[in-house]
Amino acid sequence: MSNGSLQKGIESFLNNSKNENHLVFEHTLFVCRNDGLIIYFHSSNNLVNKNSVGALVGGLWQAGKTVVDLFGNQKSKDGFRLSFDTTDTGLHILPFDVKRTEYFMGLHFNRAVNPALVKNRMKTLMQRMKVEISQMSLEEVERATDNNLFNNITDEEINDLFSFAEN
Amino acid sequence: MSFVNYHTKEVNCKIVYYGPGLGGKTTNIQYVYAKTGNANQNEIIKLNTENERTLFFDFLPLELGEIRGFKTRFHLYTVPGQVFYEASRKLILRGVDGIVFVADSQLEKMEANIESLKGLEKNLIEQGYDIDKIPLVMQWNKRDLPNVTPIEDMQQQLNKWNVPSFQAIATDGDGVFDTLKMISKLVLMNLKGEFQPRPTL
Repeated sequence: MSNGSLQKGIESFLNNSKNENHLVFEHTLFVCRNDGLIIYFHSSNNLVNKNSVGALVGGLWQAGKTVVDLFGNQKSKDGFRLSFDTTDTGLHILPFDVKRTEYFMGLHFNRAVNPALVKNRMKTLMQRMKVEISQMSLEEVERATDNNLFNNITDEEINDLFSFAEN
Repeated sequence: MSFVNYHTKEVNCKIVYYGPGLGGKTTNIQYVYAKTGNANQNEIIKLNTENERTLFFDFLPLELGEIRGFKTRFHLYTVPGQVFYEASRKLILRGVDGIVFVADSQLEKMEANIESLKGLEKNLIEQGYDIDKIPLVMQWNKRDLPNVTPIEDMQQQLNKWNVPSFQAIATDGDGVFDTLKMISKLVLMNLKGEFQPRPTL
């Protein structure tokens, strides 16, 4: 895979992995950047706002990491993970890096018969995804460097964006 | 946070409302949320204490229309204003693209405004930002109350960078969108590096 965006690559990989990972995909699976930006979102619940999920997970991870750091930098060869769960329902988050930026794969599972197995499958899925995207060229997803992108943006254009506020 | 995806033609930006406690940060984004109605289909997220004070942050994802072919999405955050929550404020500034400083215009709140602004400068430095370079807009809120500080004094004491500033009565919506439009414009211009460092007075 080359010349694909990170988002497109992740979407493609995960969508192609659904059949063999039905244990994971019967729950809500998402990928977001450390600042909360959602890259991928799979859920059977259309009422869930994915942007809110991203923002909260980003904050959750940052807060957890900061609390741990307060006790001194405790490194683990396995890296950290974050869970908020009961015996069959909850949230599980695993981090991964792309070009020195931290991303998270998150899973919200609900009434899972064997949550440990679901988490394990998710971890395997994430590891396979990391290998896949490490082979990608990510030049299409980057900070804006196009000098003409929003050149001389006008008040009229901004007003158009916020036209809903006039009502 | 700014994230431009050329493949999907999307722009994502993070704007943080910063300022002293009870200054009107949450009221600002509540008003924006009320104006979006159901068209936006996004909920406002509030992480509050039992007495309705912001505990961690408020969050409003704002999906706007297209600009120059790019779908534009702003993520609005507020920080908790109370002094106790300094650690939370630092976290929320991570990845910020633009800041609205909401100052309380009441005379007796000037010290709290100054303290909060100092905290902002310090926290930005800790997160690797320079307040001289990041898009910043000042909002002088609560102008309807008696005993407010004259605008000239607000400018002198809080706006040494001479960034755009707006008077506001956030509870009525006055000045809320003027402020948001300005910071949005500055953030979008900054995406391409056009925004220049501000000279200090």
